[in-house]
Amino acid sequence: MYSLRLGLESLRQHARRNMIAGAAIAVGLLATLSIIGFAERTNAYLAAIAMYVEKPGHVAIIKKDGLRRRLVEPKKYSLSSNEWNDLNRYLEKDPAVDFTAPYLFGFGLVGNGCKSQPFIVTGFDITKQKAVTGHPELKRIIPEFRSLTRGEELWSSSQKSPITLSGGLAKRLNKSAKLPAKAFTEVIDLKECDSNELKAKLASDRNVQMLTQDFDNRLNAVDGEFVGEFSTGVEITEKSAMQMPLTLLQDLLRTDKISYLGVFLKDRRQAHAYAKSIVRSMANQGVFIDAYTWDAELWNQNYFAGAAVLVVTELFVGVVVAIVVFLSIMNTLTIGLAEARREIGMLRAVGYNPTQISYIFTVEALAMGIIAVIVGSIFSMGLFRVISKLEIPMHFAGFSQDSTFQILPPVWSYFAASAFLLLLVVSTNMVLSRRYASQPILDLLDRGG
Amino acid sequence: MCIAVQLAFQSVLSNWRHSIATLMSVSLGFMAVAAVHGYIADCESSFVQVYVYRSMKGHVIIEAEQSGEDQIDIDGRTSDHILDVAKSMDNKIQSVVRFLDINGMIAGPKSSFRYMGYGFDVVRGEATRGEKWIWHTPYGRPLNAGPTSQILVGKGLAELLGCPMEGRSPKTLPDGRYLDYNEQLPCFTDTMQMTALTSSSKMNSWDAPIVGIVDATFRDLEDQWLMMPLNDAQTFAATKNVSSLGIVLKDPSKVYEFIDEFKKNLGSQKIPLKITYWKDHESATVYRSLMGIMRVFEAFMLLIIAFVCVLSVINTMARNVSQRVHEIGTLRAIGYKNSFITWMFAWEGFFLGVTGTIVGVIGMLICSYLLDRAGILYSPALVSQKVLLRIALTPNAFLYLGLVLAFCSAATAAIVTKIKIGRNISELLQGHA
Repeated sequence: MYSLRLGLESLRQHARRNMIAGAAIAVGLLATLSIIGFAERTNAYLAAIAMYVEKPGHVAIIKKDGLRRRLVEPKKYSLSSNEWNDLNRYLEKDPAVDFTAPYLFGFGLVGNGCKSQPFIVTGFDITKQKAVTGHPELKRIIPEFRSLTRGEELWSSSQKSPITLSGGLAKRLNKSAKLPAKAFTEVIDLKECDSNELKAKLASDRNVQMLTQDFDNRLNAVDGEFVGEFSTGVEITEKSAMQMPLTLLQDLLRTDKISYLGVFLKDRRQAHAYAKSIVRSMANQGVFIDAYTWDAELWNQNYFAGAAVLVVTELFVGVVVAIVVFLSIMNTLTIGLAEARREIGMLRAVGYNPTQISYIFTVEALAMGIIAVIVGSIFSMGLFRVISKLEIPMHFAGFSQDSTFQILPPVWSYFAASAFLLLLVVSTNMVLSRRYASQPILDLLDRGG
Repeated sequence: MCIAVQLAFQSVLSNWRHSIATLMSVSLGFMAVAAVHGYIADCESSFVQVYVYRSMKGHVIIEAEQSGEDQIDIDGRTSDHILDVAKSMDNKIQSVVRFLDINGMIAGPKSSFRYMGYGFDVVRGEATRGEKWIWHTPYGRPLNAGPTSQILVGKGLAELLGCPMEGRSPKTLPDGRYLDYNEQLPCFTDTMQMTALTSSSKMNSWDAPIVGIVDATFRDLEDQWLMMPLNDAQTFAATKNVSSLGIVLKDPSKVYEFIDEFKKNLGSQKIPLKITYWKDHESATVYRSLMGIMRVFEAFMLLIIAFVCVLSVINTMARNVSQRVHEIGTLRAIGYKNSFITWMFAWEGFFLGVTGTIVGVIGMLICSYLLDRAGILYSPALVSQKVLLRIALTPNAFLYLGLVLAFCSAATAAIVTKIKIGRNISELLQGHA
């Protein structure tokens, strides 16, 4: 007990060196939390885009072996309406499933009467898609994300064949959802296509014509009414993407099939286990599928590669910061012990053994460490909050919308980093002080200071 | 040599045991920042290789002012005029390549697929890619200047068109260059049919065999990427227009001066032109945002490391001054001023910083060598090809970083000493510090 009091008393007596050691610990904590927090924020952003924007779904269910083959033989490797209905019936009863959303992909040419542009199109159930874009996790991670940038959403439109175009594609087709709709019914003279007058008329005309090759490799075309502009969230597709109701795309592709069924779980952390179990369960019912989790390398390669780079960076920086902080702490403690050499000699002379002396210094270091991690945690929290409040613009590479720079370490990381640093301080101090205290008393008393 | 410097140097040598942790902190801190900087430098150099040389877009990109969403091209006459101006400035220009953007549908054995890419000057393109990337096809061969039609496609598109790619790896040299794969893939034997709209919005078709497979640079483009000779692309699109021209400079460090001079020589044009340094171009958004994040990260690392190193130096110096308080008292007693003693310790801090840097440089050389030997490949986000994990050695940055650390150490040492020795001589001789 007396050793405990001595240790705590030393904390006050050696205020200068303890402050320096404490500052090193606090900065080490800040550095560690910053790295974890930035990586966590980036990972959350990439994950939210992957799960709710690029390829929606916590688990994606596709026809067995259809991942690449559905591009070559869409008729054979897409989910038929029977398979899709069987799946839906099963999934609706499953308490782990929040909801499901079907998706169909296609591509073709879209024209405004004067010029045509290639497009890639996603067809979806508009009521389900409303739930996807309004998913609480997406809203929490990227509150600033706006899918619709102009005009109206597909689910709000009263048009029979509504479509939305990505901002870049709308501009390429000389269409703008900002302008009031005005149908253009005259016959277009192609020689006039570059005239500003015709361009202005076409910009207000909401009708577009879409041409594609259907699932049987025959050409097909349908008309669509452009009702809004959206952002894909990903730079590379911003100039060529289109969205439309699933039924309209099925008409265009002359099919009743879908490319995949996105499953949204109540707890997405169960995605890996769920993907495995659904394949087995459906196989037992004679429906053969493959299921990919949202973070699977084959399903979301961009997310997978981005997350892998993040982990490596986090580890590299984490290890370097840990070593530098460790050296700094060791340096501070060594010098502190060297300064207290005569003091250690006195304690040895009055009967304290090396273990008891080591205990006194460990108590001092632990007390100093606890104060440092508390101060460091409070300072870090404050700093990260200020950074969030500042809303510093940041552009994640490859994504089309601006976001904000944020450092968001999870709560567990405060405890984990603090515990790690305290362990480092206490164990280093214990070893060093015991080594010092084990020296002959005369040496300690003679050469102290 | 100045006596203060001499004393400081001797002190570092004689007190090396006390200084070892600080030396290690400084050298490790140096290595951490230098490693991050070297990684960024290597990424930058990879971007230059991809954007400037492999894609053949060059250091300077010329296109019509409204080339973006409005897709206005440069007419044939203007393009010829640009080539003439470039020829008149050939003392500054290494090569010029013309491009015409293409897109449409290509029919495979079982289905059709969307394609996009560009037609380019084959011979000029070879000059731009240079010795290193003249062979830019992991499978098959690059385009040649022959009269027969030919196309190159991305790996993903090749797979969709009937070339099984699973389990295949290209033959490469240690620096990533491709060697001739020397094997015909199944999709090379068929002639592919492409359809596209001409410049006057009429449907046209084009037949050509696949002669090779190229990297599309970005993963999302792999399933769509296609390249063909410029003449073929122009005939296919029934136009003499080009979408852009890319110029490789002999001295890229003077790019903005070159752009000004080129604009002056070009004069005013019927279609307003946009002349852009590749780093400022719309297509380099990924480069800019990625490098921006990395620079912030580097600054953050430097800040943390500098702070921790300063703390280490404070401790070491405080200890050294306390230990040598008698020595300081004696120096003061024989007439040396506080400023001399402060300088002496500042030099000691400087030597600690320099020694730490030297150890750090040696460590960096070893790490870089080991990393090169290990040949670790990784998949960066968005990029389709695996790249070698490398840390570039950047002597200039080493020098600046070493100086920053040495001056930080010196300044910290000077401040600590000034605080600790601000007493009278008798107090110092009695051992109070």
